[in-house]
Amino acid sequence: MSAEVFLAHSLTPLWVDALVSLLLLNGAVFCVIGATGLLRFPHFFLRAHPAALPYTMGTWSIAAASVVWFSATQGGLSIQPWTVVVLLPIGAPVAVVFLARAALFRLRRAGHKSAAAAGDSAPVRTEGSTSGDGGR
Amino acid sequence: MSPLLQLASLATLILLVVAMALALARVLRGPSAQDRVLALDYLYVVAMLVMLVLGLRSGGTMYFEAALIIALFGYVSTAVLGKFLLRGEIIE
Repeated sequence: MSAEVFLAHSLTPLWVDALVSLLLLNGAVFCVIGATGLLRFPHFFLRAHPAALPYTMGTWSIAAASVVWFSATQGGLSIQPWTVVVLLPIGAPVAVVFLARAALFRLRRAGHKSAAAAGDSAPVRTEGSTSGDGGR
Repeated sequence: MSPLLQLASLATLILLVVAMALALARVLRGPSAQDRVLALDYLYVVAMLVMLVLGLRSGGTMYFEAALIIALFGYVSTAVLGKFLLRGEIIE
């Protein structure tokens, strides 16, 4: 089993190796850029933006590298790693919206003026409802 | 696995660990609770990517289930923590 797998691995053409390496490094570099932004941006609502980098480009690149690699080594299209990519974008925006509403709520409680204005105007503009808290 | 891919996946793992260390610094330093939760969510996603790269290196498909479970738990924990940050203070 293991010798067979090793033999299959040694038979991949060069462009497969180069493509997989490029995709892997691309995803990792995007993750590092996002973490740098997470560390260096001044406040929470700016930090919520680089947190989306590993969700999008990082996961896409590394899952695509897995798809290419396992399709090349195991014969036939292996689309199993792509399930992560299908699943992640469903959950991530919901979680970040929860966090952003929590941050807005806490800032307003602390008496932050511009946060209070944003919290009052946002539900009226987007939903047309009269409740200032948005109900969530 | 060719030496090129061996080297590239090792470099990928090192870069991902660097990203996790930066996110961990934000978890430890973050001035407010929502900053810490956001950085913890970031840690979850990067750990899932580490799992995918380890699966690619070892050639086993079992790692994808682990990555899927980490992704699901990361989403659930972030959503629940955000809900707690909202509700916990409303009740008080």
